[in-house]
This record gives sequence, C-alpha cells and structure tokens, in this order.
Amino acid sequence: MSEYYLVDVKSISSKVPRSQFSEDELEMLARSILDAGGLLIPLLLKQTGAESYDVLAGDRQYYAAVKAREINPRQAETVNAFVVAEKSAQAAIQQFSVLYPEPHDRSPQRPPTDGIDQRLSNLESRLESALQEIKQSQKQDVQRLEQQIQTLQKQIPPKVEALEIFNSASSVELLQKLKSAGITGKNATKLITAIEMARAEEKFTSFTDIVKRTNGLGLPRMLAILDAWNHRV
Amino acid sequence: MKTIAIYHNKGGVGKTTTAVNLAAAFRNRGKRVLLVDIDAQANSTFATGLIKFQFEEDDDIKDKNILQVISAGDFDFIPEIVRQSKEFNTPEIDVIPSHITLIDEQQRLNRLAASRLRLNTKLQLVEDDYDIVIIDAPPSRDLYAEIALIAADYLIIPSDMKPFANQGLANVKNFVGEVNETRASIGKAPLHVLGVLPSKVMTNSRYLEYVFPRQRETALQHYGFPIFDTVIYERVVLSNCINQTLTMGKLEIPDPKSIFEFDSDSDSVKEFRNLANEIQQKIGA
Repeated sequence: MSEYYLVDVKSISSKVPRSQFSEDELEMLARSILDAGGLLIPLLLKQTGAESYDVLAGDRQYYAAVKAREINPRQAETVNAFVVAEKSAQAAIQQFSVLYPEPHDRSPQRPPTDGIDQRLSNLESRLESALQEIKQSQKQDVQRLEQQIQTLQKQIPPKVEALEIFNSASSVELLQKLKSAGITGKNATKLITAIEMARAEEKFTSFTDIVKRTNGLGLPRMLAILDAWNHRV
Repeated sequence: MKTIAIYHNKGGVGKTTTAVNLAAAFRNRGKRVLLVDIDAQANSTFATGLIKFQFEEDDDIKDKNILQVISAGDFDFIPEIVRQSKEFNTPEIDVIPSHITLIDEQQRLNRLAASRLRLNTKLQLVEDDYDIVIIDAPPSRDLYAEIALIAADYLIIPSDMKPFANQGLANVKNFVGEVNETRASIGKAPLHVLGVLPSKVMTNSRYLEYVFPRQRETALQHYGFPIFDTVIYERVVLSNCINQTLTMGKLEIPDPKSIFEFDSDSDSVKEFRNLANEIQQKIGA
C-alpha cells in the first residue's frame, strides 16, 4: 500500500546529485512550494529506517523542498510524500513516470560519457554530501547551544521582587499573592482596589511609599505580607 | 530520568488526580519533576493552576503547549514550552500544558510521519534536567495516547476496578502490544507495565470486604497485569483540592491545589506517599 504522509525533509535522502538540476529552477519551485502551502506533486519515498527515507521518484521536487526548507525552516520542515511499500515500488515508479514524464526526460541516471565527466560528477556529489554534513553539524551545534543557554536561564531564579508585584501584578495575581499571605475575601478585594488606585496615580517607589499611599494597608500588615512572600520564595 | 505514562482507555477512573498528585509527591521528595499533559481535555493543565483566565483573549497557552512540541522537529523544544505550575504545590512543578486545539489538529498530525516520535526525541534532550517525567495520556486509543506510550518507560493504569474498566484492560493490553512494535523499530525496550492502580475506590466497608477483592482478582487473573498494593480511595478532600476557587467581586477564579498543599494531614496524602514509595521501589528511582 502507498500511504500519503507529511515527511520531515531532513529525514530524506536522494541518490541523484543536486547539480543535476538548475539552481534557478529549484529556487523558483521552492518559492512556489512556500507560496502554495505545500508540494502539489508528492514525492515517492521508500522507508529505510524509523526516521529515514530514500527518494524513489521526484528528485527534482525533493531538492526544491530542501531549498524551501533553507528559505523557511519552520514552514517547510515537512514535505508531501507517498511512502511506498517494497512490493508496490515498481508499479508506483511506473505510474509516476507516465503521469509526470518531464522530470524523467532529464534522465538523471544518465551514465557519464567519459572519464572527466565521471570524476566531475563524483566530485560534485562528494562536495554536496560534505556540505550537507557541515550544515547538519552546524545546526546541531546551534541547537545544543540554544538549549544550554535556556537551561542556564532556568537556573537563574526569576527576580520577581515584592515591589514589582505591587506595581505590575494583575488583580488576579494580586489576589493569589494576598491569599498566600492569609488575606482573603472582602479584605483582599478592598486592598486590591486601594493598591490599583494608588499605583494608577504614580508607580510605587518603595515599601514605605506603598504603606503611605495605600488605604487600609498599615505597617504591621505590610510586614506580614512581605514575611509571607519571603517564606514562600 | 524515568518517564511514567498514566493511561487507561476508560475515562473517569482518576487519571488526572493520579497524575498531578503523584507529580507533587515526587516533587516534595526533592525530585525534579516534569508533568506532560497530552490530553485535549487539559485537566492536568487546569489542576496545576495554569488555566486561571476567564476569557479567550487572556489564553496564554494556545501557542505554547504540547501541540507545538509534537508538530515541529527543529523548533519548540521542551525548555521553550515548559512553564511552572501556579500556586499548585510548594515547591511548584514543571508542566508542558495541553490545549483544546489538540482535537482539531489530530487529523493533520496523523499524516505527519514523524509526529509519533517527536515527544520521545525531545524528552531525550532533557534527560539530565529531570528525574521523573509523568505523562497524562488521553482516555482513548488515538494518536496522542500512542505518542505518550512511545515516549514512556513505564505505564500505570488507574482503574476503579468496576466491570467496564476491567474489560477495558483487554484493549490496553492490545494497544501496548502495538506500541511495542513501534518501540522496537526505534530500538526502545518494550513498555514496562508497572500495574493497575486501584483508584476512586469506595470506602464503604461492605464493598471493600466482599466486592473489591473479587474485582481485583479478576483484573489479575484475566488480564495478567500486576496490581498495585497501594489503593487511592475516593475521598471528598481529593475532589475539593481541584475545585478550589478565589472570589473577587463577581469573578470566581480557579485556585486548584495539590492534595499536599490543600490538606497535608489527610488520608489521601498518605495514600499518595505510599504510591510514590511503591513506584520508587519498582523503578529504582
């Protein structure tokens, strides 16, 4: 059976060298893949591992998809493809070549005519695969670095200072914060209204400022709140 | 890092209660815990205090949840999506939230050849950051359940031990068999079924004396799954801790708590401590 899937471009490889196809044409096709929201003639693929595939037909589209991914890595991460079972592979390739003869007219498998051609095309494919490897390892390096940075950032304790909470927490956040300090119900609602009124006039500049300008928030209560928050953090 | 999936294809058997409170139990022992919610109902996400907003425009989860983790291969890794639970437990736990949009996206993801493996791959990248990962899987036999069981090392099957839940164990067994084939294809050992966890069990003494032992025996004999020694009983306090709210004027804001935070002296706390003990013995964490 041939199943229709979205396959990760990075998990596909082709045996035909990229240089068989004109870069201008690939570029144009790539743009159209992005603009049309996908490749309209799916690739034919053979699955070779849990996350690896070989192109059976559609090498030109494949390189266009690679190019599209280079242009927009997020949007073109995957490509439309039929994943073909071993036993239907021949029939699938034949159907494909009848329906879409044009890419095959280029006969990508054309044998090189003389020694220099042979060497050139070998060189080409070696360059191509070396380049791919470099790109791959560079991408992995960047990813690893980004992850390490993120892990590090997570270890830095978020610096939410009490003053910042008074100045910018939403009413819902304030409600929860006050609850953790044992202030609930009507008391909390009243206090939040008072805080919001005072900070709307002007940002609080210090804890003394908060106590001075917030109705119903005396020094003992303020200290109780700060102690409770400090304990939680 | 040990990854435990909580799954049964029968709903209403105490799956979310088990997932969030077990996560809290491990966290309270100093373990670094990640809770992954992959159920579109997002009950675990709610229970850990991440859905306090009342209006759609305040929804800050829509573009940063498990869906992005499964969709992209080169983007949206765990550290970018994870957030801390809010006023749920002291200390808080890390959560990958779920979202109702998971329902719409299932069809597209089904076509995505790699979607089954993405969570697995991305969890491997954070294996040094967490000791315990708990995955709350949906009560169905779908793509999301499959993703959960592929990513996990261990499986806990919460069950109220009633006839339908018991009969569902046959489905679970087949499903685990299927998932094991996929696991083999990526070189992962078969899923280790820790056992059926009796949960939402009535405290009625006649029931416990006559009916429960027979139901337990059936699960053991017919389906060949081990059964946990620990039993999570149905208690008022256990549903109350999820249903806490704060009121402000006319607004009622959800304020769910872990059972440890809500009532540290309750019997349910002891049950979850026992459960954590039993699991730690079984998996050696």
